[in-house]
Amino acid sequence: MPIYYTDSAGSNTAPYDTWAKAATSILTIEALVLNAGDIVYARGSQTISGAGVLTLAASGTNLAMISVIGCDAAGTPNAGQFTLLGDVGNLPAHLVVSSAKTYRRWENITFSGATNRCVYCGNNETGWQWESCIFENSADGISTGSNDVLRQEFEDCIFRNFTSEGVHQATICSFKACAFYNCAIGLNLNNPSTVENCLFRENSDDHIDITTSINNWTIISGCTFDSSSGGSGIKIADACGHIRIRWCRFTNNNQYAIEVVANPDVTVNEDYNGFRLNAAGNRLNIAVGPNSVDLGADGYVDAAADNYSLADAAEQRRVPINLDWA
Amino acid sequence: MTVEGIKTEIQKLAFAAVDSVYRYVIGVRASLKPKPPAPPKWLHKGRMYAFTDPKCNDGDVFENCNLMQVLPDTEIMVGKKMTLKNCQLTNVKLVSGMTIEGGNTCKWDFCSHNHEVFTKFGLPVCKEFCRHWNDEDKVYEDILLGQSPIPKAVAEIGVN
Repeated sequence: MPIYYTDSAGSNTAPYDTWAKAATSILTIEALVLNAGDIVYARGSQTISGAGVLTLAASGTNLAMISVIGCDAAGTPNAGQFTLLGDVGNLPAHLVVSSAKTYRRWENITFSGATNRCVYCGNNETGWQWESCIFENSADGISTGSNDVLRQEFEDCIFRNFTSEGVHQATICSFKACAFYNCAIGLNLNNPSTVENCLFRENSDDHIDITTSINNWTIISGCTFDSSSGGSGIKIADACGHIRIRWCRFTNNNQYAIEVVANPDVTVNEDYNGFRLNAAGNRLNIAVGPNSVDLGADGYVDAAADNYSLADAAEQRRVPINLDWA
Repeated sequence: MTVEGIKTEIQKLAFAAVDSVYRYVIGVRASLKPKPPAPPKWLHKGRMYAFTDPKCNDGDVFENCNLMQVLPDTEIMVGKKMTLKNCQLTNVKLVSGMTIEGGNTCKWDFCSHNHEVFTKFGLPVCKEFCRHWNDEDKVYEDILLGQSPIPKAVAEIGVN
């Protein structure tokens, strides 16, 4: 299980097995055939222009876990971000195009700048894991042409600055301690997923948009939904079922805190949530949870300026977030 | 005149010279009005400025901010100089005075069928089967118009 290295300051010497011999482009590593358990260490920043995209297409077989791990300047894994940066003025359509190969793990990578998507999931790839990654500055963070972003795990990730959606059509995915901000829609769920302890703030449309949920369960718990400038905290489309919303905070949203468009289903319910200052109301077409509260009666004070600023994914892990609680 | 008298005259002249310089300096200082303090250079970090024209001072830095606009080539922060690092600049008109490092400089023709909420921020409402309609796939699609050219002065500095 060899370790490969990539660093723009390396000597670009095969087999790229030390920092000194590091490949100067991760696209060089991509041309190798990697196998299950192989790891790619990457540090610094590399620019992707118009045509080049990272696929890991030649690597391994299905069910082979291959990891790409960002390192700091000293080469310590997971101590800093490795950045794949779109060449501004000549941005690629995508920075990563998934390769129909399952089981890829990405840690401490920043994907920044593409015309269409940071990551394009072309064929319902499954089993991808993302930890402490940042997705930013494109139309979507992760999406497909027409299929779903399927069976992927996101932990301590940041999705920001998208003209459309942070994640489009997530199906059977897990989002844990992620932040979604400065997007149109933060997260679009197309089928059951789990969303826990995430922060949604200052998206211009709905923070979470659930378009389909018919089987199994969508669980949303322990999240903050703050300051949508044009939408709701959670918007649930017609004919969705099996959704549980628990222990969340909904504040300062332009529309509803929780909005069920039509035909409310009894299997969609909320409880133990806190609500305050949602312009159109706290709920539409969903019953009041018996243990939910109006936060105005519970000591909530809306700060003059929220402070959610995060420098990188590592901060997402360790910096306490000002939740405006008095 | 005695030697002592000459010394006394020299001392008087020297004192008068120093005194005049001192008075001149005091006078100049007194005539100078205090300059107004330079506006602070702010670091705007992770802020949501989409669809707005944010307040900006010369030298401000915007980092990981969203400044997108609904219509292509929308001018914002006119006449100011600022650095834009890893910002969402879709449909922002890029002009000299903007130092751009990374980010997104696309120009999109958005369809209101896909972005209903953008109509709240100035996007015109499209008619049914507007120019964004893809009859083959039976969907409305935003149209990518290209990428804004980076202002020359910035390109010479280089990015990344």
